[in-house]
Amino acid sequence: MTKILYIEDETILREDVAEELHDAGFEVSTAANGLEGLQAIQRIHPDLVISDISMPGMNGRELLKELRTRHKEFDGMPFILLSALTDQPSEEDESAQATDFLKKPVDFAELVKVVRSYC
Amino acid sequence: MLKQIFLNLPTLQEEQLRDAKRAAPSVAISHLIGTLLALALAFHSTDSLTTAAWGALTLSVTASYWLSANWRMRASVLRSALLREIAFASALAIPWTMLGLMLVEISPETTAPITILLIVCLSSITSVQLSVIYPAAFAYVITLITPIALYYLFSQEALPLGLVAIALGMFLFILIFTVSHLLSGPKRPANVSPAENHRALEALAKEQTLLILRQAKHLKDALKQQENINDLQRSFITMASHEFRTPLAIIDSSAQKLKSRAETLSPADIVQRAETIRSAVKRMTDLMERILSAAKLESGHIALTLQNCDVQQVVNECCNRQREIDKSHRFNINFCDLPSVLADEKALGQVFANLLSNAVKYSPNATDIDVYGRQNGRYVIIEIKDHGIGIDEDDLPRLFGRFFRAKTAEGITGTGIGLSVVKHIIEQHDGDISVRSSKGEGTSFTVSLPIGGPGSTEADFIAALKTSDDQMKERA
Repeated sequence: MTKILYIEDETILREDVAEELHDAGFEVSTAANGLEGLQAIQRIHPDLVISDISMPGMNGRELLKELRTRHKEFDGMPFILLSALTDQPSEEDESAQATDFLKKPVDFAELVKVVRSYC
Repeated sequence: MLKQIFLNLPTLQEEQLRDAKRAAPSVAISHLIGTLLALALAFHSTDSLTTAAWGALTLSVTASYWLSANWRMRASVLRSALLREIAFASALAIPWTMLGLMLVEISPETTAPITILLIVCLSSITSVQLSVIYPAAFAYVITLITPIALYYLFSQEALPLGLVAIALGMFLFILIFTVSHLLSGPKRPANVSPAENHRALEALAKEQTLLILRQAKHLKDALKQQENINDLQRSFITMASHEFRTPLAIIDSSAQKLKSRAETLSPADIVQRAETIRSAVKRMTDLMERILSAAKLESGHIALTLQNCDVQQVVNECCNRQREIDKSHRFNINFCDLPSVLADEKALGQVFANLLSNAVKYSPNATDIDVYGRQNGRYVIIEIKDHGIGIDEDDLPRLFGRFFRAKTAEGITGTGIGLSVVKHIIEQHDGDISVRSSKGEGTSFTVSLPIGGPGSTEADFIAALKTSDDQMKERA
């Protein structure tokens, strides 16, 4: 079963999205911020990560940068940013290396479709 | 205007003056010859024909010496100067010729003295111009004394006293006029040494440079202000977009759940979803309120309603309200006896509610919040200290800027409006707010408010203290 890690600090969204993904047939783990997310990635080796950007402690972009620069073993892992920030990441930005960028609010069916396209 | 017409000074450039000075001796000589010729003719003018001839000669002489005066000037200068001087001389000569003709008709005997007078006038006026260019005493000698001396020589008669008086009066008038002009007029380059000239140029260059620098600074400031406004707009859009989209995402998520799971949801689940939606809506309306009230405050629509406020009580109430919202934190309040402060109670409430809710919000893992109050001279000092996440040092200078959010605040809901409003209110009260923080250890805000109210003097302060004492006694 495809393992997905969803990192989000808003509890309600975290629970709702996780439930949707679970119902769509994925094995879902969650984390509440970047640092927890990084630990979870190292622990469970997910097939795909979906992460919010704006979070306390380590944010989604910092997590992505950390992964891409220091944890080469996760280089092939798709990383989707799902954020309320509307700024599209610029080319030199580390988040440009994100596999995909989705805006909140997100249509769950659409999200599942995007996730499936990478697994 | 008159000075300009008669002296031609403003039209004379530095180079022209130099050239004119070089031409001055020939001016003086032609002036002398012209005067002599005019006089010789005038003495023998017994009919109108001769007088007309005299007039014509006066015209030509006047023109000729002005021509010679300007002869050595540069071609371009010469053209304009020549035209101007011919026009000037003609304008003077024609009415005098007419007058001369008329006088000859009336009384040939009086013609000679009046002619002299007229020549003196003409010479004197032109000598003013001459003296401006070449201020030599002999210009006056030639223009005034020569005709009088000649008259005496030719007529062998005593000069009429009235004529002498008029001539002397005019001489004095012109002398005073010229001297005063020379004293007050612009410094002529003839008297300026190269060193002085250099200094003057340097001073001018310095002045101009300063002017240009000032203008450049104005432009730079304007640009900076524009950039700040652009930055502000960008931060506002980023903040508003994020802060609105997050509750919208929650609402949308709940709506999608309600729709897709309509059949399996229990009534309790539905109620819970409705609650979630409502609290997200409240989050958005609160945000809107905050943005609007900040805008209103900054556009100066809110005037302060000053009254004697018990700061201690205001802070206590704010702590209690904060406790009702969030029971997770403990407020350690430590007040020395505080006098009341002349201030807007509602606005102060807003200040402390904001600071206290920030203290709670940014110390999720440290429950203690310390509040201190004391009097320091004419000010009441309130300090609110948390032991939370702290702020990066390089974020501190911009902390009170609108829509600014510290790096450590990421992921914590906020608009970057609160502290800018707090600062605005405190400044309206002529108070001050400062912040100390170290990352990971906590943040402390210190507010100082003038006891006597905004713009208060020593007397206001004493009056406020007295009111405060009276209130305390009443309460006691």
